[in-house]
Amino acid sequence: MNDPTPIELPKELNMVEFIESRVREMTAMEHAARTVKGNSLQMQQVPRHMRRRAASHNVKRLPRRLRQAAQLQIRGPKSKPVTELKRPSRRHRRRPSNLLQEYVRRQNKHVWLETHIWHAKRFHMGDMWGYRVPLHPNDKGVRAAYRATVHHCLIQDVSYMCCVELQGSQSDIVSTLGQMSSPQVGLSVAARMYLGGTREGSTVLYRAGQYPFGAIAPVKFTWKPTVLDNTYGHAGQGDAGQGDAGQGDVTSEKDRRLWLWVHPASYVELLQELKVVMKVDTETVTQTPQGDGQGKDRHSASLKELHMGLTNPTFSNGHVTVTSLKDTLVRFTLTGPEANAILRDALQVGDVQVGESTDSVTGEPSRRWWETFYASEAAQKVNRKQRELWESLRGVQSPGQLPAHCVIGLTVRDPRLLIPDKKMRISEKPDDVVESTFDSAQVPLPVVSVSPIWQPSVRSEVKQTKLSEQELNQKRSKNLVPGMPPDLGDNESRVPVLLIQNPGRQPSLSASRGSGDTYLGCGSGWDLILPGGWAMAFWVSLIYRGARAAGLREQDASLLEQSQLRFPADFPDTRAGEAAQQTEHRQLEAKYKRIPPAKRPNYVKLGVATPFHFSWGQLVVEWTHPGVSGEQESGGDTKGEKQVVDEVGKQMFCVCRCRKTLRQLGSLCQPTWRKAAKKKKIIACSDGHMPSAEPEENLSKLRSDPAMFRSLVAVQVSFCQRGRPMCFAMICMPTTADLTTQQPPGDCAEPLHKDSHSKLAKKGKRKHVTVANIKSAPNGDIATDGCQAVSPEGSRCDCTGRPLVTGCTRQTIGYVTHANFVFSIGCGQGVGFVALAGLCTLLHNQPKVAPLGRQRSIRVLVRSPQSLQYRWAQLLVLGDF
Amino acid sequence: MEKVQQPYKDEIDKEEYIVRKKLPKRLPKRKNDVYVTRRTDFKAQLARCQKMLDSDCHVIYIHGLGAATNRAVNLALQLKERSLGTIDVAVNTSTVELVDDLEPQVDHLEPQTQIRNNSAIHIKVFRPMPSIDGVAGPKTTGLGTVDNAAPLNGAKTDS
Repeated sequence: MNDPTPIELPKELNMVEFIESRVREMTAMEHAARTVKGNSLQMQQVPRHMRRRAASHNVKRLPRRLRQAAQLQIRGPKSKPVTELKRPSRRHRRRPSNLLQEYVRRQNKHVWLETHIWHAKRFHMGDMWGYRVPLHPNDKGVRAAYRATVHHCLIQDVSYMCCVELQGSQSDIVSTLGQMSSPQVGLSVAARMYLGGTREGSTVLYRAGQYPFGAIAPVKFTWKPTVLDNTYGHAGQGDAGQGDAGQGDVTSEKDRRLWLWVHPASYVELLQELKVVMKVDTETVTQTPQGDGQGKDRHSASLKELHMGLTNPTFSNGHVTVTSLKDTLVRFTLTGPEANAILRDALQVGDVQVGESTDSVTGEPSRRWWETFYASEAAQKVNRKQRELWESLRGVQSPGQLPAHCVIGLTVRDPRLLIPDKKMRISEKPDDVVESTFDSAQVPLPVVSVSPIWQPSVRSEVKQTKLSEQELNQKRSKNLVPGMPPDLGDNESRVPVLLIQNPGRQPSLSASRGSGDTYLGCGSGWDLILPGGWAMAFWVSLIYRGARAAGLREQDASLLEQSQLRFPADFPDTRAGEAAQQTEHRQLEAKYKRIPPAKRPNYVKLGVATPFHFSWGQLVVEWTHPGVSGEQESGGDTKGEKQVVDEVGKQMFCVCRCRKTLRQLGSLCQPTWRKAAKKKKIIACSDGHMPSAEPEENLSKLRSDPAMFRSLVAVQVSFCQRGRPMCFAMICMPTTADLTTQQPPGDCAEPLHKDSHSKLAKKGKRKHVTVANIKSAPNGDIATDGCQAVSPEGSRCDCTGRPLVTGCTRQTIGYVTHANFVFSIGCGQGVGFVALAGLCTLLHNQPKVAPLGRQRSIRVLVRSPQSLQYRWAQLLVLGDF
Repeated sequence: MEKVQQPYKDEIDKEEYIVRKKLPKRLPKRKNDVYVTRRTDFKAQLARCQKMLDSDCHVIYIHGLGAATNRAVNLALQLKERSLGTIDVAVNTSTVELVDDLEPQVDHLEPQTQIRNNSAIHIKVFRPMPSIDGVAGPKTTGLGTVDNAAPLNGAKTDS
């Protein structure tokens, strides 16, 4: 400052050079002027005194120069003009035609059940298996559904179940389906019990020639009774009086029909397999193509076709014709003791007397279906018998008293005419206190199971001639006495229905007898099958008599109460089950990853190898080839073993459904000391050897069969004390120490595993170490860890490389797939699967003398994935009957 | 088709048939009928009966079938003991026909049924009133025998 050097200004300025050197600064400035800094919006840039509340709502509150930019920021660059965003008025939307159009649009992806609108107002709905199905009611919990099952009546719309009709000679149908099933599974389609059509059977279908692998799905089936076949076939002649019951003569043997009911998750697979078995080319399948028009026309056309059953495929190989009746029949499931009374009240046998049949006004010869069907004396006799039986069921206190799975056909009146004017409870009706005259020892006769619902022409006519609500209301309004049902006479619809009894819970044979914990007949009820188009009429009339609606959640809970398996979730060896499991896996894993690491369980520390899915293949492999998992140190031919893993790991396990094996296992699950005492062979054997060699032989026989040995067995675990199992809980084998010191029950716990990567995760925030990486990495702290031997790189969150069986202090033999607190027993209970090899080892290790406590069956330890605590549970083999 | 009358349990071949028990035929249930099971908590059953007796019901009927007979008797006696002599019981026994399904295990067999008999007990527990007519009489249903027992026992009790 004190001695400034004189600065010499340049004499001249080269403009080009000057600007060139400043171009960068200028562009930067220009850019800065054009772009808005930070995250703030245009409207937030105005000075404070010019800010206006709700400027985003009305852009005109901003200065004009900012409006355009603000508009863009609010609505985005691709925004349409405001006028197009406006929703049409409610009045417009609710016009019947517009509403219908909207409904059609919404049914485009997922088929609605006929009761959809009723359910959508009251239920959470979900998209499953191509249908929009009710999941659970908005206002009731599972316990309410349980109460309804035990004391009242629970109703569920299961119309999503798909029906497939097989038509042909009896032997052809039997041989077709015989290729897809095994006599080991239980009674087949050809069983005499079912051939008469008086009972509904069930079996599991497999891909042809692949048993015990390649299961498709469990199916229910019903034969059409042969009683009226020859009379109805030529109804015009009508003179045939040969309705001799039960005598399926030669002509009827040739033309028989069978309905197969299959879950929609494996419907496509079943049809494909049927084509393979029947050797039908896929090209010859006659399927009416869906309309290719645009917009509304296409939808309405396809919907119409759908309802007419035209889009359903039909194929034939000359002997057997397969027709899909998907979405053309309605099926309701009613459970609970009041189901009988409700159905008795709602279904009243219609009058089908043909005697005074005066033709309609024009006098044309078109007769109603029931006048044709019930023209013969034999048919009238059938109707009389059915009416008598239905009358005798009055006063039956529970559907569980009737013959199991019996089928009753009825032709009933239009239920809309008989609907009570107010919602009521059926038990309040005074005439309920009647002793029934039904003899439950009688065997159902084929006459009773005859129903016109088997005829497609009858089904379509019943649907087309249904009086619309509007017409019905008009007739009601013309009534002289308000509130009385209008007398429609012959114009009233007669609806053919089928009723199928469901016996509910049936005790497993290995369940301890006499202990009273079998809860016989819990969940017994009726299945009601109706022709399409009539669902709402019957649904409302049943609801108005006090039936309580249920969704999928209630169905699952009810199945658990009855210790039955759900489809598809509890059928891991089917494709549908696998797909369901993958979906669930994805959802659970995504949910887990959304939670911050400190707030979610660390499954590595808990020692849980597969917290979100079941790797049954690996479990079976580890049990059948015990060397594979933890034999890294032994060296040897790891390569060969690896091949085994690769080969077998690909779903090469099956679920054992062979009744004989299951019965053997069930009897083995009964403690041996009990049997020994029965035979008065009290042998003191404290050293752990079998008192008799017989069970040991059975065990070794089971071990020797390779296919059986690679299988899983469905089991039920019920907690002996507090707590309830969770899904994915491990079923573990107690050690000998556990078995001897069983008295303090809370003592078994898994020590905390060490997560060698937790420090890394803490350090490596910058590197973003995902949980997936941590988990899949080998865990050196677990004693018998051989993950590197099997799959060095691991894959995802599920640490595939970890040994499932020996990963924890107790060996894992299986997993729980579905569990909850069971109200009827009053303890936590679950169903799951164990590896057969593991089960055999467990049975072998059981103590052979009675312990001090009241031990009734085999005990195992169950550990939930989020806990270190092992809990004692009783193990029971399912399906051993 | 034909009924099997009481085959011995061991006579049924387990390879051919398995026995499935069914629910017993139940009588219509009035408000004052108590069906005793071995599954229900005894205390709860007792409390339920006591509550009924303390409210407007002066007569209750306790039914027990088979192995539940002991429980039914115990329940009635407990009620009597608790009441300090204000309650009396009248007992009747009967035989109930139970139907079992014989489910075939092989394809060529027909399903059958067998009939067993089991003993049942019906205990009328009542509070003897000066005028028994005031008691709401039970409706005439299947329990005719119990109803007949009422006046006999009712007459000899002291209040």
